[in-house]
This record gives sequence, C-alpha cells and structure tokens, in this order.
Amino acid sequence: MSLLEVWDLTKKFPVQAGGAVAHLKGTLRRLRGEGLETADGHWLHAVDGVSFQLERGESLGLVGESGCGKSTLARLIARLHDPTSGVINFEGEDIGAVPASRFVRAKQRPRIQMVFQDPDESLNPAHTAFSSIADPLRRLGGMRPGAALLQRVEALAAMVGLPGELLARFPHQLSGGQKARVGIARAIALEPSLLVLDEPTSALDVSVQAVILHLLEDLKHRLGMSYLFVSHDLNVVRLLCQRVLVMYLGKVAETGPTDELFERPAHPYTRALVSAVPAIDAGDRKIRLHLAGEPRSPIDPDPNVCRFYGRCPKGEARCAREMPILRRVPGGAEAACHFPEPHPRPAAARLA
Amino acid sequence: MSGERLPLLAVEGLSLEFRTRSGTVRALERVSLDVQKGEMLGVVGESGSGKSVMSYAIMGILDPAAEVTSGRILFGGINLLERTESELQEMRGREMAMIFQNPRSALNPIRSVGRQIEDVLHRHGNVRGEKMRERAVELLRQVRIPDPERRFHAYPFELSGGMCQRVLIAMAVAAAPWLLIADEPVTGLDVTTQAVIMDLIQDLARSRNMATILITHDLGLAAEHCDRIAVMHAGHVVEVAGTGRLFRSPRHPYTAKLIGATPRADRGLSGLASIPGGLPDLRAALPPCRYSARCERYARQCDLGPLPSRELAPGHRVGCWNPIG
Repeated sequence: MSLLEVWDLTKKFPVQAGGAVAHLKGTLRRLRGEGLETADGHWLHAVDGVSFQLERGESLGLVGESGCGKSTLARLIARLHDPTSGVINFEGEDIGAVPASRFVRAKQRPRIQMVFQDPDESLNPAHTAFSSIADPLRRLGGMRPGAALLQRVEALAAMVGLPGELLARFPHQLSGGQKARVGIARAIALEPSLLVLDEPTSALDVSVQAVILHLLEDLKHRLGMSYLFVSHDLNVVRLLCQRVLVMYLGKVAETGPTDELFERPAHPYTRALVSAVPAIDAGDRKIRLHLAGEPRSPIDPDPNVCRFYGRCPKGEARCAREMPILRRVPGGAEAACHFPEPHPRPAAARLA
Repeated sequence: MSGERLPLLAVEGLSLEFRTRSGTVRALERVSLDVQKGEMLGVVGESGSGKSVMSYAIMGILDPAAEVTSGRILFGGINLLERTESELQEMRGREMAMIFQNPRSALNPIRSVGRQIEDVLHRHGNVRGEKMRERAVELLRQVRIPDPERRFHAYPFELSGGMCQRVLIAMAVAAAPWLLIADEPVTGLDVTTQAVIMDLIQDLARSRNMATILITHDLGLAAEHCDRIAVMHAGHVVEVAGTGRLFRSPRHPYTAKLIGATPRADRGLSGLASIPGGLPDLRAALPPCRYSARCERYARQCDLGPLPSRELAPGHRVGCWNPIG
C-alpha cells in the first residue's frame, strides 16, 4: 500500500464575477451568513480531478507555473484546506473526509508536516528558535517543558545543523539559511512520514540552497520520510525527486520518473517548461519553445476543452472537443494529451 | 571582449561607502567594469555582493547615505559622477534606463500603462499628441503585448507579472537608450515567462545595438543570455570573462564554488557543492581579499598587498593572488 493515495481530488473556490458591485453583494451575503453557494455560482477550479500515489521514502516533485494549483494541492494534502471532492488516502485512511478544523486533533496530524516557502512569514517573530521548534512537540507531541523537551529540541537543532547557541535567538537575529533550518527542524520534530515542502529554498542564495538541499536529502534517508516537493525550480526538483507531477491549470499534464520526464517530455506543456529552464551546461545550446499568450481562465473552465488549448502549439479540433485524460506513454510516464510527443528529442520547428 | 574600441560604459576603480549608525559599510571597493555597445554583460553574485548598489551608482540613484570615495563612471567618455542631478535626470531614460525586479511595484497603480509610457515619451521622446499615442501603442507591440490598442488602457493590476515587466521594458526603451540595466528582471516570474522576457530583452538589445547589464543571482540565466560575465563577491569584482570561458575554466576560487553550488542537470545532488562560510561583515576591518576567510586556496601572500586585478588571458581578469589552473 502506498503511503499516500490521492483520487480525483478537486478544490474549487467560489468567486464573484462582474466587478466591485457584485463583489460587495457577495461580501454582504457572506456577512449575512447566506453562504457562498448562493452567490452567482462562479467557481475557480484550483485543483481539478488530480490523482496520484506517493510511496514510502519517495520524493515527488510538484511543478507548474503560478496559478496552476500546485500550492493548493500541497495545502489540501497537508490538510490546511478542505477538498471540494475526492479522496486523500493517507496510511490507509481517508483524511480528506475530516474537516481541516478538526484535523488538528486527528491522529495523522503529526504524521504530515509542512515546510513553508518564506521563513520570515512562517516563523513567529516573537518566538525564539527554541520555542518555534518546541511548539509542535508541546502541542502535538504531548511534551511538557523540562529537561526532556530541551534535550529533544537540541537534538533536532543538531540534526538540521543549527548551532545550539542560536536557539535563544529570534527570527530577525538569524540569517536566511538559519531560519530555513528552524522551519525544517520544526517540521521534522514529530518525525512525520510525509513532509510537504512548499518552495523551501526559493528565498535562499545558491550557496545556502546547496546546503539545505543536502540536508533535506540526508534527513529523508535518516528519518525515512516521503517528500511532496513543490517548486518552480526544475533544476532543484531534478536533484531531489524521483518522480515529477506537472500541473497545468488545476490538472495533471504529465507525471513520470524524473529523468524520463526531463529527457523525453511527452506533453507539449512539459516540453515548453523543460526547454525554458536556464542551464549553465556550456555548449549544449538548446532550442527554446515559446508559449504563445497566457493561460486560460481557471474560472468555470469548459470541462470538454483541454486546459492547454489555445496556448498549445498542436491544438487540433479534438483538443477543443474532448478533455484528454492521463494515458501511459512509451518510457513509463503518463501524459494528458491527445497528441503526445513520440520523438525522443524535441524537434522545435512547429513552435514559434 | 574588451578590445580597442572605446567602451560605452567604463566603471573605473569605484569605491563606495554607506555611513550608517552602526558603522561605515564599505559596499564597493575599487570596482572596475566596462560594457561595449550592443553587448550583454552579466553581473552575478549572492545577495550582499554589491551588484545592485553598483547599478544604482551608474544610474545616479544612490541612497543619500552613500558616498563615492574614489573612482569614475565614464559613459561615452563623460564622468557621470561629475554631472549635476539635473543633467543626470536628462540622461536617465534617454541615454540609459533601468528595469527592476517585481515589475508591478515599479508601475503607478492608478495610471493606465499606456499613459505611463506616454509620460516617458513626453519627457524624452520629442513627440506630442496623436503621434505620442501611436508611438506608445507601437512600443506595446514591440514588447509583444497582444492586442496593444486595448491594453493601452489597462491598469497594472489587470496585467500579469510578465505583462507588467513587458510594459516596464517598453518604458525603458521608449527613448532608445544606449544602455539598459536589468536588475533581476525575471526573478519571481514563471520559468516559461522568464524565457520569453529574456529573449525579448535580447532581441530588443540586438536590434537597437543597445548595451545591457543583466544583474542576476541565477548563473543559468546569465550563461544563456550574456556575452561576458562579471562575478561579484562582498563588494569586489573577483572575475570577468567571456561566458563560455568563465564556465569552462573559472580561475577565481569563488567563481568555481558558485558554479559548483548551482543545481544542474548533468550532475546529481552529490555533485552539488556548497560554499563554506558567509559574506564578511562589510562594517568590520577587512583583509585585502574579502574572500580569503572562505577560501581553500588562501596563502599568506593574500594578506600582503591590495587585491590584484590580473589579466590571465585577453579579456579574462581575476582578482586573486592564487588563481585556479
């Protein structure tokens, strides 16, 4: 059994179309407690029918451009959002059915922890590094203040390479790399089996990023954790993850083993994404595939039109008629495209 | 390559300090760089290396607490540091322009983007009235904004980050400057948008023979777009070389470390090296080489004289007593 099995997971947010007046009306309705479902019925499809599995000890990279739903998906799985529908099967139980407000007391809460993107926004500025790391141990681990807690926090600090004398410091007295270490120590304090990492190194300089990436890889092996790694940096994902899930406008465009997906992308969007990654590999000048235009609106998208239609260099009549589903392609990946790329190397002639 | 041609811009021995309450921050020390017409020069380094401060010095938009203690900034042979503020105002936009990270915050939120381009044209462009509107729409078209007539009336909040950056680029090139400084122009944008914006900057620069200074922390981005690269560390330019040469055979230990710390496809995580130590405190007493405390090639010699600037090959300059190779 996989550690995590996600089936047809969907998250829609109600939105008001039609400018400020409609927005105000919606706000009034909400204040009157009439609920959002009575609003004018427009929905932003942040995550739309996503299914995937994550094995024990595996790292899955979640990539895609801003607004593709990758952060929402991460937050659904970390149980910070409630799904609209679908199943989140974690260690054999559907945790998606437990409302987020009650999930704090669920027995799985300590088993799924999260590392956030910006350590400045995710660490309480009034708490020392010590109390930030001790917080989950006290709230969820049932530890009382005392020698045992002190020892545990010091052990965690040592594990993430944070010098013990820095534990008394406040976030503003720590460097970016040190704050990142506090955020990681806090997340692993309860030895979770699943760690959800939302852009954990994007605020760091490369020299610090390298250290943190090594630390994450080391901790994964030592503690036997699985990672769901959200990142816009494909070079980083490539280093840390065995499998990748590429999202486009709420849907999975392609998923497969990392090397396969980077070397032989089958979905036109993956191809464009991979070709856009800047690389210092000298001499290997590749052809860049430009995407025309901007993504379609995620509000009330047509369920029968491929989300990538209009921006896709292929875009044939069938793509506007029939939503492609994930199908296995040669090489072990799955792509949601009617016309997946058959060639091992992209021939860019058709993309302007 | 810096050949016999007179460079468009030459920064010569620029030293700059900030007087702060907690001490004097020596942000730049004897920084020298040059940029040729039509060339794209990358300036790379970690945060705190002084790359942005240097560009503010070139544009003459330094914080009042900054004081230039030595050096010259020659633009077309004229020392910008000797110009008055009103002369510089006349040059900014017309002769040299700058675009920034986070384009939305660089635009006026309550003025349509077309009007903001017209403002630049009004100031520098010698066009008026209907012609000005036409020229603004034409600029929006040049930065490949779809449906430019309609987008002329859009406000920044109605446009995506990538579209806002295009508008800023349109404003920057409106008066056909000789030099464009792009300070982290695509940081925070999606990787697909990054590629489009960088190619746009490169195309505009080529077609106008405009020089570009690309300031970035992303070595991959610099590698893909720049002709030459200058590496900065703690207020020093430690190495300058042609892009291919710099990545093939870096001579400064810091450059080599920086390349080694950048994730890349052809090496796994085991090939990813970190850089020991951190930037020194620029308020404290500093050794001649500000990298020496982090350096594996440190020797006694490094502490003796001022940091050298050695031309190890034509166009390949290194600030190191004990370079690699």
